Amino acid sequence: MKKIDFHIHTISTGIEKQGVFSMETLLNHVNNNELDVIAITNHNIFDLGQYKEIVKSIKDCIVFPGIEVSVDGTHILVIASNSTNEIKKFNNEAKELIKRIKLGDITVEEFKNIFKNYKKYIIIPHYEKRPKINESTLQKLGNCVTAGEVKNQKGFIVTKKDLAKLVPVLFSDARMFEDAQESYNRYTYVDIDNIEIGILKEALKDRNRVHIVDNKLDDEFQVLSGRLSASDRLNLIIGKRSSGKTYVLKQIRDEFGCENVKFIEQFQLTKDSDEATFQGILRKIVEKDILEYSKEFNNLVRKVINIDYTCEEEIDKYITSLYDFANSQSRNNEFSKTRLYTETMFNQREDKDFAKLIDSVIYILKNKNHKKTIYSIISREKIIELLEKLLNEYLKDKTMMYIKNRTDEMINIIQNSLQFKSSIGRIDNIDFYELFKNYLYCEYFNEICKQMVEEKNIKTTSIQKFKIKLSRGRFNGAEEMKHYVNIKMAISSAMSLYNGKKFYKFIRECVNLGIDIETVSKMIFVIRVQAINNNDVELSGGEKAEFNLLAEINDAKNYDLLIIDEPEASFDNIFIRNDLIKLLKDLSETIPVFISTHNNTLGMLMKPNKIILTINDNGEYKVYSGDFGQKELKSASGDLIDSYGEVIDLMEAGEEAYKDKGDTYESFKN
Amino acid sequence: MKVLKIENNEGYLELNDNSIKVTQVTKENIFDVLKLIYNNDQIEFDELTEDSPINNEAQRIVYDNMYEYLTKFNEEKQKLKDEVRSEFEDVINKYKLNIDISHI
Repeated sequence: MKKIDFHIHTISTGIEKQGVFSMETLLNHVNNNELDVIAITNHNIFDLGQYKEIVKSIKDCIVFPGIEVSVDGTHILVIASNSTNEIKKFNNEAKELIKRIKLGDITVEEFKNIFKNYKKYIIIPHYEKRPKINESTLQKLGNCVTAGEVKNQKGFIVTKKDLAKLVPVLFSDARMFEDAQESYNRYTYVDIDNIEIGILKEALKDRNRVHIVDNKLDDEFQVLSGRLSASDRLNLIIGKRSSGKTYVLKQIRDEFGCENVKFIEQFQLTKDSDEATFQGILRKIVEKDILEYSKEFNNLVRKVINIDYTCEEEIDKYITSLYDFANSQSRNNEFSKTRLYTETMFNQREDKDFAKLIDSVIYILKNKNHKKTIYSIISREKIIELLEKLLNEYLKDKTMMYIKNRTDEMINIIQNSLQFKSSIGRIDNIDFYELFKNYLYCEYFNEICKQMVEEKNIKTTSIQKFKIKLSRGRFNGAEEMKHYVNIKMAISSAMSLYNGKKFYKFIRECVNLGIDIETVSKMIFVIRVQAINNNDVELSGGEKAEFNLLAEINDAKNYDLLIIDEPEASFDNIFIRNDLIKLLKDLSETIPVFISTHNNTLGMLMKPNKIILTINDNGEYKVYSGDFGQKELKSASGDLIDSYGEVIDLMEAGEEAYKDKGDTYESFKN
Repeated sequence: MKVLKIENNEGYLELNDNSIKVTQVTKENIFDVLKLIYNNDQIEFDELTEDSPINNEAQRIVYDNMYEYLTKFNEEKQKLKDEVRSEFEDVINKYKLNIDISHI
């Protein structure tokens, strides 16, 4: 069995975070993880000089040349033979890629043209890993695909069981940069004796020859640097106080990388139940819903905020200039008597919908999927005829508009020249259309806001036995508004407009106060979030802790692993038995779960797949593990310990206490 | 509904059963007549012709100018309604608001 990692970065290319290559980091990665074979796979680049340096520096591990190529929105690992001749060919192909990749992702056809020897290479696209390969790219690649890279252990196990899928492989995707602190725990074991590209390639195509544990068990994976085999489902961690349970959990978390693990620490759920923190958690859960709900309204605010609301002023100016002109006729002269002097402008407006209409007709003509239905109603010739007519009209309109605009310009010039000679003022040009449009915008905006501040339920979503209710309404004063949008400044001048339902003037005043438009758009109506129980009553302290746990477990689906450290402090046994155990079991079908507990209801009734026992042996943490129900637990060094004795001691305070308890209940019952 | 009327060789703006001489019209009257035009489908204007002239030159100029602008606004009001509707449609539909864009 050989342990391989075919996804390693040694060059910072801009796709990943920046860093400087460190040979020491790479050596540690290879040695600490006891890797037998690696491949260097940088994004769209192969550095022959660096590759040779790496090969020279690494002992007892074969290094293959490789590259991670950006193809059609996904990434594909390409690994070549390490023979001198093949490296040379591969290097030339990689140089070709550099020239082309400047233009963006390559197509599969280009990939095959550039990597002429692609049939000889190991080809591994991102499969159950982002950016995922799409079905059509996969089909275009055809038989040359060796295996598919997956994101995590669970992805490996699930993909391996599905015979319709590619053979999965799991690699570190590690950056070998200076000061690298990360650990990965993502490797693949391949059932081979000799390390040659051809042999490897064949083995990687055979799902029975790839594993993520060296004992070939397909529902297990290794943690604690290979010292512990864990189940891909439920793992129960037990041990006395200070026996190192939390230490082990944190080790597992670090191995997977903090960002990939949902870690629920001891007492965290009760701590999070105070009102402010709880509100924060609630809002985070529905953050997307709130954004989605407010989107159109926020857009509207952005649209109307800059409208010129000087309607009355403009009409006043127009009337005054009109009367002035009319009354000055006794003083009139040849210049002001000219017809053009009082001529009104065309103020021609573009018909924005016209272009859309033409686009729609073109869209119908181009449609292939429904062409049968379309042409059964109206012939293609008729649609073309319609398009021609519309285009003609459009052209005419455009021409007219051009002429009228030029005429307006000309009238304006003439009127200016005449005014220069005449002592009589001109009549102001006024555009009632634009003026009234602005007025309508402001009026309708006010009307919309009036309705938006009316109390209304928006949405109710369920999280198991709880519900989250979203409702909208008006702000109960400046303090609530300021807290909601997180501003500190005084807004009393704006608040009087808000209270008087002059919403348009209110948003203008807010902007005048220096509040940005994004924030202003959230100041009209408040979205309240409330968690309620089955009886539609607000949650008690205990229920909040339960709600927090359910929300965390729901969120855990976005992670590779869930770790819960002694959750029992926050919950009663009824919740543990009726809700928690089922949830954890369901979740463990998706990601592995580690849970440490002293609670016998939780520990025993959830029937974990693995039991992990921690013992503090004079300051040294020892870890034993075994399947649930197995007679003995085993340590990494092969020591055995009685499984039943340890479990009953830790869960029930010993066999005697367990029997006593049973007797007590029995007599209580009678 | 007639909004500009010529009677006895004088020009009037007709508003809420009041006839206001065009030389006495205020900005509020203009604003109200715009609303009237926007809200009503049947709007009429008396055209200044040789048969129905306005004798006073100043009044004639005012009438003529108002006629130009108000008839243009009347012609374009449907376009205006369509434009305003398309701007507010998303919001009205999304939040199920009860707002009639065709009247103010």
